[in-house]
Amino acid sequence: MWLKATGSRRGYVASCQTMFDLSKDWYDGRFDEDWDPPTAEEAEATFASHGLTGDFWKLS
Amino acid sequence: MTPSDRQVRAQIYRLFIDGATMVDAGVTAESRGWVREDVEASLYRLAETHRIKLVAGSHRVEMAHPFSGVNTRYRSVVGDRSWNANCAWDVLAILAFMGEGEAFAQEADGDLVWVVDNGKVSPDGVVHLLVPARHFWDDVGFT
Repeated sequence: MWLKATGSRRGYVASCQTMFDLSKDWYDGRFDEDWDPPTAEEAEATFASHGLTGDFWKLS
Repeated sequence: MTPSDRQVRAQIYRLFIDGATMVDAGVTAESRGWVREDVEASLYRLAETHRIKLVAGSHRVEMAHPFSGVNTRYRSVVGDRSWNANCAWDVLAILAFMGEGEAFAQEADGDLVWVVDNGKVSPDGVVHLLVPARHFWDDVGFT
């Protein structure tokens, strides 16, 4: 219904718990001065460690 | 990132963490006694390299993920503190770092509310991501 109302295509549906747990790793150190973005491989590994795999989560 | 860009980026986060709802070049510069023009230049570089998003045509921070510098439909609440978030993912992400509490998402038919307690999100609904990861920054506002 939401997709129809917004004219959007279905993307990836993840549980709130998964996204909360992912956040702890994804944003770890983000607020620090010496933070650097993860490489594509590092980011994909972080996603995969929370079960987020497949083309949707590919960066490389 | 230059050392000064790193300092500016970290200061933006400090301001949001401390409760600022509006962060721009002036606020950032004043908070550390920096030269405003230098901060403006840093903000542009940080935006160009996708560390932050600026409100179009301004020196105001719109997004320093997971924080939002503008009012949105998403708000994270921990005790008497609260923050604007960019999306359903970020409203939960803020709670992952700022402490457990409630995440609110305004919808046309009322607020959605999640509670995080002891590391568990309830009710455990779903987050629908429309944009694949490799395209997150193509139009990050839409993402």
